[in-house]
Amino acid sequence: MDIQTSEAQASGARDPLERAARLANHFNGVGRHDEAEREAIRGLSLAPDDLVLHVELARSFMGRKRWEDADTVLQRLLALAPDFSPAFNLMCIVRTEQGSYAEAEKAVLEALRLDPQWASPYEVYGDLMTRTSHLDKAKKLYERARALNPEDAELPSKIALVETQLNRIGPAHAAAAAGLALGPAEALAHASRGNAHLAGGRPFRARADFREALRIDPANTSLEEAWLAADTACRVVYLPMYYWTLLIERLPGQQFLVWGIFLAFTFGARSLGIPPEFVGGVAIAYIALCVYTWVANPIVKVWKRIVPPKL
Amino acid sequence: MNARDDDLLQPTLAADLDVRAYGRLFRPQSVLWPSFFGGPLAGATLFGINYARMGRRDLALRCWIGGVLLALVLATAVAWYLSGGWGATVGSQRPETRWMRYVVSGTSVAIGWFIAKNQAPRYTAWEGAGNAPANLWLPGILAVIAGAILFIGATFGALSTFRAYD
Repeated sequence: MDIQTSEAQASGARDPLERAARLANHFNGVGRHDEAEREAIRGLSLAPDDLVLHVELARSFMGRKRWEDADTVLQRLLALAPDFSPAFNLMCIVRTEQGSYAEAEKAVLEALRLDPQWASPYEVYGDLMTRTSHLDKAKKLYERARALNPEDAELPSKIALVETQLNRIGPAHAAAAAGLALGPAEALAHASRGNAHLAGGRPFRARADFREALRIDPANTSLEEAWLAADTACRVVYLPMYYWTLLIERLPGQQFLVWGIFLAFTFGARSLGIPPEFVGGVAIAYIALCVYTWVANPIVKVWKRIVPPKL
Repeated sequence: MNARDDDLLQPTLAADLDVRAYGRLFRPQSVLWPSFFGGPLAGATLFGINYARMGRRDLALRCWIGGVLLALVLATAVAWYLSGGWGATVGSQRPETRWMRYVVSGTSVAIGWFIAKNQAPRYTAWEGAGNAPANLWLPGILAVIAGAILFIGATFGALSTFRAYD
């Protein structure tokens, strides 16, 4: 089912049912979901209970983000085959996208109960845990999937993204490097390393990585947003703001903690015998920092209009 | 390993985690700003609205009641201080009265930070489903104004009570 066939190979099949299934699989694999839907429906008109064609039809809807339609097809599929693990696996993806996370978890756990040695549900479950901020569990699930399918280039990249979110920059780089070694032409591999660079204080390298990822997958809007964010961080006027944000994101209470420290300093300075000129200097520096953090975003927006980012 | 014995395959999510039913949420970290400027009533109002929109009316109610209680405690403390409590001089100089305001803002933000941390996973899950946060400007400004007026009113109310007993 996951094995993509070429269009010529698929259309060469003698059995019309097999031909429709192969073509639908091929079209889904290359993103031609309308054609995949047409082939799947053609096949289902010949064999209305065919499980593989139901899967392809669901995938064709999923590829076009028609989650309600995909859900309907999967429910029909589960009515036909209640122990069919791929249906539960796809159901988890659909329910995750719909925002029905508890239902998604139920579905993927069922897929794993039916087939605990299949890597894909672990990855799908990892995606769900990432989405719901259970990052440690997500990482463990991706690692389990990787142990079952070591050749999958996406898995180390997804581990790298989770490590970055957990602010573990060293392990994020190690995982991203593993992803790049497995799939140097994968956009996600470059993006995961870009994310690690961006979170680790290297915006210029991050921008280069996102640029490479966009070159591979130019239609990906998430990558474009990431590249634009990295480009913003590289602008001289925004660079201090970028480093300041990196710093305060690691502090509990963020800017309010800095404000608290500043207040404690100004109130305690008198009793500690710190000269008023020094306290005044610190106060001016703090106010200047506040003003800068307020105006950095509008300034960089104007700057980007004057000097637009270049791919 | 049997799936039943595998810790990784135990359910993690709350049985009601379905963000389709959520209303538009405020970004929890952004609500810290109204908490800072408007005090506990402003923060509690907005965090409570967020909980209600998440379908957690129990937590919304706790948030609102907690906010009112905290505001009353802080207003009483400020009034007590202004009426000469804790060794303060009545009609004291500006910096001495100013730090009470900082205590109110700091306490509101500190408590708000924990609430924001509590709301963050559900908010992230909701945002991950392709939703954009609700605009906080107008509700934030209204909450700050209303929260500050009510807090000042409560403080003056407590102050007049203390003075009546003097």
